[in-house]
Amino acid sequence: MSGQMKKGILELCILHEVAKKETYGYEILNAIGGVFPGMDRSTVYGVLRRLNADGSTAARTGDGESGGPQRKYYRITEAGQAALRELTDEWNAVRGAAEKLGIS
Amino acid sequence: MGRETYLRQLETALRKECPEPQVKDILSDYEDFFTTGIAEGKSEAELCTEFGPPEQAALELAKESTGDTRLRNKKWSVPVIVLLVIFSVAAIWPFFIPEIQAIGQSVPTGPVNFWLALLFPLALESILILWASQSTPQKKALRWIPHVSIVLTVLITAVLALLIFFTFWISQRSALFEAEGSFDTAHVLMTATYRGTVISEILLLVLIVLLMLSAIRGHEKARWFLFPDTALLTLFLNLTGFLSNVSTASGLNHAATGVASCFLWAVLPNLTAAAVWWAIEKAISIRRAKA
Repeated sequence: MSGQMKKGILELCILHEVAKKETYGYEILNAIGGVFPGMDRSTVYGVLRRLNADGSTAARTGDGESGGPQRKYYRITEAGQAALRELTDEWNAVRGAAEKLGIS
Repeated sequence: MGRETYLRQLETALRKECPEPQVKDILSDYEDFFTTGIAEGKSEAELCTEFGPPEQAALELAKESTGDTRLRNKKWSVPVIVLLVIFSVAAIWPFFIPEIQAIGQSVPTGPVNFWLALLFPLALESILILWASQSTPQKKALRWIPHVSIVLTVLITAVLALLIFFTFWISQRSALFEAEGSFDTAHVLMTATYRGTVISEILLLVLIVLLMLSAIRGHEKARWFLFPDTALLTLFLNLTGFLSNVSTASGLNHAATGVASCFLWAVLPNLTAAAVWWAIEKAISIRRAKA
């Protein structure tokens, strides 16, 4: 998958995951990396960092695995909710259009 | 590849692309990813493959992890380019004003000149602030540029001050030289210093451009250094224009007023612009803190 489309879809997926519940970085990377074979988890992490910098998600630092480094927990913000709604609408429009053309 | 090798390679690659706090933050996250992954039963090699090559990860992270992309992805807008052209011309403008060329007779205290001088640094800063909000932080490898530029600017400023002083000294003594019959010597000296001044001023302009570029890449110090820099450049440009015309005794009567007005013309507007922007930025940051 290339460029803009990948970024858009990754944003949608990450926001969707984070909207479900407060969750930590590895879990997000693993959930999304697991369904997109061949995608580097660093790419997912990059998009997550950007969403966090944009204010679509917010992070708090909590305890990690015992003895391990500190772990960041991410939750969705109001701006993130709005972005998620917008991206979901866009996605449905794209999917609807593709279906009408018979792409499956 | 094992965990330690991966983290080391990632660190090296990140240091080339991102500022230090970001490098630390990313590395700490990757350490947690490894710890968690291993606790979930994955091998280090498996995790390395999942993360992808460290060099590529670093490049991708440097691109992604800063600022608002909606702003950052914006290309230079047309108004910004137009402003830049107008005010780049304004920077060398004093050379072309007949009033300043003939400054020995008339002193540039007109309101139009003052407002243009005020607008130039203001516009320069506006452009920088616009760009700064759109750009990623400067690559670490290029961070010597603003520092070297600042040092060089100070040095060239000192040289220019000496040259201007020398020009003034010669012009004051030109009558004396004439009486001694060594007018040619005075003329040669005058031409040489004048050329030296022009070259130094061009260098100063180049350094200002370098500082501008650094400021655009988010270098805070370079941005604030631009105010005294543009102030000094306009001051020297004016003084050069002024002094090249003060070679007669009648011109000398205006010397003190001329130098004073050059100073006012160049330094006051720049300081005003700096103060205005400082106030605007303070106001913005206060509003942000509230929100």
